[in-house]
Amino acid sequence: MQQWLDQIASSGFLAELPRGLVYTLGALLACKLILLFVSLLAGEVVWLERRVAGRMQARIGPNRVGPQGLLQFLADGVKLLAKEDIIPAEADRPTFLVAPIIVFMGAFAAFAVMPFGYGLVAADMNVGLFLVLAMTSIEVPGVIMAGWASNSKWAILGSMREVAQMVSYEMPLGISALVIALLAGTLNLSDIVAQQEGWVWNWYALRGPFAFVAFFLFFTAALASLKRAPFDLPEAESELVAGFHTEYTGFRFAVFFLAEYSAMILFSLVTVVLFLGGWSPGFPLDLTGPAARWIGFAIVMAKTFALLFVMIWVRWSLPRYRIDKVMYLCYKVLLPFSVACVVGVALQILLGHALGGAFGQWLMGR
Amino acid sequence: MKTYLEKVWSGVRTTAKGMALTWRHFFTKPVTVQYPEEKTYFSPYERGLHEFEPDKCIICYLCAKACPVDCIKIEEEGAGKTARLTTYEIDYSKCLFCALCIDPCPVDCIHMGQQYDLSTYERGDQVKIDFMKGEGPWRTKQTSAHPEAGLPEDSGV
Repeated sequence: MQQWLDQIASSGFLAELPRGLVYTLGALLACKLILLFVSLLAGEVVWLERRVAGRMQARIGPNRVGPQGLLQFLADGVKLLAKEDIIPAEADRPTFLVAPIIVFMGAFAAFAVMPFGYGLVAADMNVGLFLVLAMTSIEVPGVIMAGWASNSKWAILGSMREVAQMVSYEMPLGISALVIALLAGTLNLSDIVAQQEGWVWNWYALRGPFAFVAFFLFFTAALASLKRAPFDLPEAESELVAGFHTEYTGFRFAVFFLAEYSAMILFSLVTVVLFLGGWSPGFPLDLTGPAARWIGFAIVMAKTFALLFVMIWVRWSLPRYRIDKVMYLCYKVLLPFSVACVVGVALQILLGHALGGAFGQWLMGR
Repeated sequence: MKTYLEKVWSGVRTTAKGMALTWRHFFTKPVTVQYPEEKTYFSPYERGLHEFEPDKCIICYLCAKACPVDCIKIEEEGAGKTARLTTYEIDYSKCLFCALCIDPCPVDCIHMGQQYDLSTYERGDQVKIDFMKGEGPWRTKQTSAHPEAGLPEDSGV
């Protein structure tokens, strides 16, 4: 991205302009592209969810709007825009208005460091993984602001549950990501993918038993911090109407909805990048060329959609947990297991150092 | 310690079991009928919109008398053997599709049909249907919804 920008900035009429302005415009363009791409993708994920849910219940699902119902999200979006924008009379107005923006920001900001393919990353940072985990936690204050400002008991109960759950699940999420940080020796997501190129056993999920377990722990913790079923206590329809966004209507509700689905895409992408080899197809293939990187992009998207399918599949299979069981699962199962994985992986790396050779290299992870 | 690990294992196992079930269901054929394009089977004795055979009718008023809600309006021209039917109107805002008008007919000229979808775009449409003006279905072999079943001898079951 940096080289592209340098090239573009020093060619044609752009060379006349101040370099800082060109960089700012380039950054804005990248923002806009990612925002557009992720919003459209989130819309399609909503469609995918409804179709898969339909098929699992021996129904068909939306198939009227556009080919196979693919444009359903546009119809839904227009419907939501046409709805009345209600702010409760007793609501804390400024907080109420700002909350969806914060949640949305938290879900979208992390896409800046996601490598969609070789070089297809908006900001290639050496703290990428850390930034992803930090940005997804921004959602928490947004949610508690939404719940508090709504002045509704459903909303406040939902947001309290959500915050308790998200703060707790940050721990197993971070610790199982630490397993990969130990193996990779870097937090730069592009470098993490680069180390998983080659044959399929180079993927971090398949490098030894500890990383394999960490993959499942990470995915489960991601589901919980996404508040997807079976961890959808914060918006349990049967108890809390809709949780923290009970009082939101129209476009503000749409923003929450979009944030939720883009967070799903984000966590699938992170899991693909950390554990499933990113753009590596599972056999040695050079995907660094200017055209070949788009093949890598297609592979990343295919893997992401496979994981999204699993998320949807889980949602339509498993019943909702009780809130104390959610906490039990976090503190008594996922946390000890992920700590054990970190210790195990550290030992595995030591063993790799001791053994040396190709197998030792494989054990060490780089 | 043992029971803890057993609990964890049983959690993993039952989750996998449940997901295997939905995975199998994912590949079953949907049972949905895409309504306006596809229609489900109806019995030949379905009580839908009436079908009328005007040339059989002998203007005996038995159907109108049998009707519990008085929704059948019959008008005739002339008297005795030269009488002609001019109006045979059923008010569907009253009709309760009980088929009591079918049984007393001595010549079997009124039947219950197959048309169940009576929705319209205008409130006035299809409320009162005058069969003599061709607004409602006339029964012939061709218009019968189940021609293979023939015309039931007593269509009033």
